[in-house]
Amino acid sequence: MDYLKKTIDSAAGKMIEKAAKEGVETVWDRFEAQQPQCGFGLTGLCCRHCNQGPCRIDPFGDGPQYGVCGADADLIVARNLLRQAAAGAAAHVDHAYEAVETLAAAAGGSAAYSVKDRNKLLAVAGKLGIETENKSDNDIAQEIVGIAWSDFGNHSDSTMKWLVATAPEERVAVWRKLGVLPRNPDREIREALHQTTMGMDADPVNLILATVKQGLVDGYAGLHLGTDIQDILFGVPAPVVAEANLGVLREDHVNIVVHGHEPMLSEKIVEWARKLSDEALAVGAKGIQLAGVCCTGNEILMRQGVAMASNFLAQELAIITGAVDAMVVDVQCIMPSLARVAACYHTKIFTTSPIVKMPGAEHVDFTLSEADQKAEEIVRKAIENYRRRDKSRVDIPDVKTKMMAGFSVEAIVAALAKLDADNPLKPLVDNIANGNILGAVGTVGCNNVKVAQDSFHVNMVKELIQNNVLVVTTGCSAQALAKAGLMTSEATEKYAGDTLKAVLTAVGNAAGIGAPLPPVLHMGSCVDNSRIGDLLTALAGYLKVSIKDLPVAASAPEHQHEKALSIGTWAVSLGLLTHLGIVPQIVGGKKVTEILTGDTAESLLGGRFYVETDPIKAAHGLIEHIKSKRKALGL
Amino acid sequence: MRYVIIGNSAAGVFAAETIRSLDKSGRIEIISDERYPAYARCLTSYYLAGQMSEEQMMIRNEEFYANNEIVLNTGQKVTGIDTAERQVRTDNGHIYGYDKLLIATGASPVMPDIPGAEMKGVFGLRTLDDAKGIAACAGQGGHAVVMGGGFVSLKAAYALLKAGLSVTCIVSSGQILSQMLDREAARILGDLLISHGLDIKFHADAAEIAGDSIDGEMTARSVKLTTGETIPADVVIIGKGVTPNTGFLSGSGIAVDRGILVNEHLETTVPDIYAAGDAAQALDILTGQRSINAIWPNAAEQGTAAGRNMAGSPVVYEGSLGMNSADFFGLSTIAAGNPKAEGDEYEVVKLFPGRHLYRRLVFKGDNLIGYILVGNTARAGILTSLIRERVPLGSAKNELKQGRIGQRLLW
Amino acid sequence: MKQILVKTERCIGCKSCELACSTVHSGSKDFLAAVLKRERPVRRVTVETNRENTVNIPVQCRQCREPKCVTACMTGAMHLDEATGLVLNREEKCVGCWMCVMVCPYGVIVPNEEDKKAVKCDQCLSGGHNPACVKACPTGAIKFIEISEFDKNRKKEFLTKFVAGEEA
Repeated sequence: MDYLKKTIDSAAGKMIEKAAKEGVETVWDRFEAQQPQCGFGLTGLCCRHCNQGPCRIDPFGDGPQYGVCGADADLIVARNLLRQAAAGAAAHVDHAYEAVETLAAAAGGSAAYSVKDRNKLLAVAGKLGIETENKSDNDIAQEIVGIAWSDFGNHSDSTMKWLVATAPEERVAVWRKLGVLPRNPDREIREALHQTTMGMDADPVNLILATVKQGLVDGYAGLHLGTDIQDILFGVPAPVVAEANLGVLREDHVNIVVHGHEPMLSEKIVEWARKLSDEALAVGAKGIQLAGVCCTGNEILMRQGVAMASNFLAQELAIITGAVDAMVVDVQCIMPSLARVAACYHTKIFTTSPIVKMPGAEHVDFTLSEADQKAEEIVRKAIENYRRRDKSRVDIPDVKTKMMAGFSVEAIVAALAKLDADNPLKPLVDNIANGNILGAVGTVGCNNVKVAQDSFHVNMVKELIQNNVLVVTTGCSAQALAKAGLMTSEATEKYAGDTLKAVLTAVGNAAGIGAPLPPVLHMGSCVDNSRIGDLLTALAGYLKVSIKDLPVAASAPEHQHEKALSIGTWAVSLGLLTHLGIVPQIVGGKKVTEILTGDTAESLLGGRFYVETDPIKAAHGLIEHIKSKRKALGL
Repeated sequence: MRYVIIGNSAAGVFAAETIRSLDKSGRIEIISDERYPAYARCLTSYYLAGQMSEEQMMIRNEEFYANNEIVLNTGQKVTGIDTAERQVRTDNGHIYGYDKLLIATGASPVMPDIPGAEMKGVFGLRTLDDAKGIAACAGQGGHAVVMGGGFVSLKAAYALLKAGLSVTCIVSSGQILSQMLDREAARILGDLLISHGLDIKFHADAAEIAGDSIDGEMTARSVKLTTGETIPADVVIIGKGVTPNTGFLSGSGIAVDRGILVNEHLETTVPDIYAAGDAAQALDILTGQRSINAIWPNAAEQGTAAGRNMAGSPVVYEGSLGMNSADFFGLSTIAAGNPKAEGDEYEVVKLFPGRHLYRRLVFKGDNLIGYILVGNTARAGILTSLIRERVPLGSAKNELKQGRIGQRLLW
Repeated sequence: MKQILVKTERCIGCKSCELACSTVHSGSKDFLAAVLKRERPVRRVTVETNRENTVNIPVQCRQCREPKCVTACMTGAMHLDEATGLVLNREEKCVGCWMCVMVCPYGVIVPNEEDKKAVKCDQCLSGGHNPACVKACPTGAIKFIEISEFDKNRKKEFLTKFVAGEEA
C-alpha cells in the first residue's frame, strides 16, 4: 500500500508498483524529479512574454517588484492567467471546430458520418431560429453549420450567435454590461494573445475582464458548440451501464485503448473494432476489447457503453499492464512520455492528429475524407500487434467497478418525466425546495499529480452526498468517481444522506431501474460541461431566478489543464462559486487573487473562485455556500 | 606574565578575551572605575527608552571573568602610571604591577562652560549611571532638553521621545548629525524626527541653565537659549562631544595628542604599554593619519589587535574607519569612510531612489571612499569593505553609481 | 565541519534557494501558504551573478573565522559558537543597531526591519542542521559538505576531464 500517496485507485497502485519493479518511469517519478518546483512559476510571478526576460517578482517583497518592462506582480499574474485561459479556450474551440467540420462533411453527403439524432438536430435548429419545416436533415445541418461558421467569420461587433442562442438572457445582459461578450471566438483568442504581448495592457482589472471573455468563448464556442454538434452526429447519450478501471482490459483479447478528447476518431475506432472482431481470432485472441482513457473515453462510454480504462494520471499505467496492443490518441492531455513507456512493452502508440505527433509513435493521419480507411488501418495494426505481446509481462489488475453513465440533460429530464410528464423539472425543484436535496455540485476536471490520484474527487464527493448534495460530474472527475464505485445504485444506499437517498430511489423506481439512481450522475466529457450549464439554465428558467441564485456550486478538485481555467472562468461567469482544489498559479498577485476569489468577482458576476486544498473542508465550504443560497431564496 | 588592562568596555574586554585565548596561564587584571561587569555604553539610550533591561546591556556576565580567570577590580580610578616601576596606582590606594599594560579608558562627555551646568538634572549620556539618573529625573510627560545635534544627542532624544517625554534638541549648526551626514541625509532624518514630535532648535545654543533649589540642591528647571528663548526642562542632556580620558597620563612619558598616540601595533611611545579604543589615536585607514574614530567596532578590533600584540602574537592593526549606524523610527541610516568629502579630487553621486531613501557615494579616482545610505541599508557592509580594502572599482563603478549594491562589486 | 559550498557551473539562477530560505523562515513553513497569507519572511541567501551573467552564486553567510560582525556587535548578541563553528545571533539580545550590517564584507546579514533583529544564515541549525537551500537546489549546485571532500571531488572531476582530453 505504498502507493497511497500517489493514488487511491488500487488498480493504479498495483501498476505503479509494477512500473517500479520493471524500471519504467511514470508521471509520479517525474514529479518527484521536478521537486522543488519553482516558486515563481507556482505563484504566476514568472513572465516570459518578451526576450528581455524572463522576469520574476519576489513574492516576499525583498527582491525585485517590477519586471524589466515595468510590470508589477498583479500585471504579470493577470497576463499569464489570460494567456492560460486563452489557451484553454483555444483547445475547446478547436475541438468544436472539428466537430462542425465533421457535421459539414455529413451534411455534404460523407460516407463516414451522418446526422444520427434528428431530435437534437431540430432542437439546436430551433434555438438558432432555423426554419425546419419541409427541410431534409442534411439541409438543416447545413444551415446549422452555416451559423457556426458565421460566428468564426464574424467581422462585426455583434455577439456570437451560438452564445445568444444558448445562454440565459439574464446572464447575457450581465456580460454585456461588463463588455465581455465575445464576437468571434478566433478573434477573441487572437486578441488575448495580442493584449498580453509586451507593451500592451497594463491594467490587471482589464485583463481579468478579458479572461472572463475567454471563459465565455470556451463556454459557447467550445463546450456548447462541441456538445451540440457531437450530439447531432453521434446521438444524445442515454443511461447506459458499463465497467470502469484497468480490470476491463482482457488478457485473451486484443486490447485497444482510445485516449484523448474527440469522438470523431474514437467513434470510428469503435465501429471498426466491432466490424473486425473476428479477425482477432486469427492472431490467437478471443476478440477485441476497447477501453477509453480521458474524455474520448467518456464520449464512447456515454454513447456506446464502451468500458472505461482509467483517467488522466493512469494513461501510462494502462500500457504498463503489458496487455495494451494499441493506444490510439487524438488530442489533449496526451502525455509526451507515452512512446517511451510503450517502448518498454510491445504497445504501439498511434497518433492521429496533425498537431499531435510524438517521436516513437506511429502517425496515422486521420482525416474526415478517409475516416473509415484510417480507422480500419489502425484496428488492423492493433490486431497484428497482439502477436508481439509478451504474455509473461502481462499483469492486468483484477479491479473494475460497475457504473451507470449517460446522463445527458435530455436523459435526466426523461427520467423525471416518469414522475411528472407535464412538468418534468417540478419533482426535482420540489425536492430541492423541501430540502430533500440540499443542492447540487458539479465536479469536473482533471487529475493532478500534486494530489493522490482521485482522492480529492472521491473524498469531497462522498462528503457532499452524505450531506444530501446531488453531484453531477464530467471528465476525469467522472472517471475517478466511477472507479470509486459512486455511479451505482449501491453507492446511493451506502453513501447518500437519507433524504437524497429517498429522492434517488423514487426517481429510479419511476424510471424502471428498480433501484435508486446513482448519487453521482455522469454527464459526459469535459466539453459536456455545457450539459451542466444547460441543466442550470433550465432550473433557473423554471424558477424564474438567475443561475447565481441557485443552491449549486462547481468544483475542479484536481485540475491541471489550462482548459480547466477557461471552463472555471465560464462557471464563475455563470454565477457559480467555483472551487479549485489545487492552488492556481495566480496567488503571487494580491489584487488579482482578491478580485477572483473575493467580493469583486461575486458582485460583478455572482460567482467567484474558491481555493481550498482539503477535500472535507472544501465540501463543507460548498455546503455552506449552498445553504446561504437556499436562505436567500427563502428555503 | 602580568597583564593589566585599564577600562572594562569594548577594547578592554576584547583584549582580555584575546589574551586569554593565547596565554592560558598569565594573570589578567582589569581595572574599572564603574561598578558593573562589562556593559555596552552605546546601549544606554536603549535602556533609557525602556527597550532593554540592565541585564541585557551586559556584554559579558560575571561568569565570563571567572571562566577566563580575569580579575575584575571595579570602583577604582587609575590616578597614575609609573612606567619605570611598571606599576599602576588607583584612587583607593591599590598598586598593580604589570608586564604588559593596556590603556582602554575611553572618553568622557565634554561639559559646556555655561552657568548652571553643574546642577542636578544635567547629564552627559555615556554611562549606565547617567541613564539611571536621567530616568529618575524625568518620566513620561516630562520635558527634556538635549544639547547638541550629534549622534549621542539624537540617540538620547530619540530614546526620551519613545519614553514619552517632550524633547527639545538644541543644535548650534543648521543641521543634525553634521559629522556623519550631508545636508540631504540630515534633512530626511530631521524631518522624520520632527514628524514624530521632536522639537529641534537650529542655529541656537544654550546660554544658561536655570533651576530651583530642591532639598537644598540646585536642580535644573529650564534652559535659556542664546536666541533669548527659554525652554522648560526636567532634565538636560549634554551631547557636545567627548574627550579621551587621558588626564592621569600627564607626566608618565606616554605621548598624548588628542588621544594616546599608538603605532601600527597599538603600542604607545612607552614600550609594553598599549592603548586601544576611544582613548587611543591610531591609524585611520583612509587618511593614513592617526586619529580617533570613536565607535564600538573600532574599539573592539583595536582591543583584539592590542591583545594579540601583548600576548606575544604580533599583528599589525589595519587601521580604523569612521563609520556609524543609526535607526530612528525604523529608518536606518549608515555612513562610513569620508562621506562628506567635497572638492575637485572627489566624485560625488547623490541618489534619491524613493521616499525616505537616499544614497550618497563619494569616489576618489577608482576607489569608493565614503558613503551614506538612508533607508534600506542592507548590504552596506559591502560598501564598507570596498572602502576598507581599497578595492579598485573598474567597471563596477558605474553600477555602483546607479545605486546597485551587490556582492559582485567585490568580485 | 560541513560548509555550504557551490558548484557555480551548475547554478542556473532560478532562485529556488531564495524561496526555500524564505519559506523555512516563514510562519507557515509552507511556500504557498506563506504567499497566500502575504507573509514577509526574511531570507538569508541571495543569488548573485557576475556582470557578464556567466557565473551565478547563491551567497549566504560565510561563517568567518574572525567575524567582523561579532566585534562590531555592542550587545554581544552576535557570537562565534565554539561548538558548531557558526556565527550566530542571539536574537533576544539584538537591538537592531545594524552595526553588523555596516561591517559584514559579504553583505549577508539582513536587517529585519519588522522585528529590528539582524538575521543571518545559521545553516538551518535550528531545523536539524540541514540547509533548506541545499535541499531546494534543483541542479545540485549547492552542496552541504566538508571542504576537503568538496575539494577532492572537484579535483577528481578536473582530472577525469583532463584524462578525457576535455581540459587542456
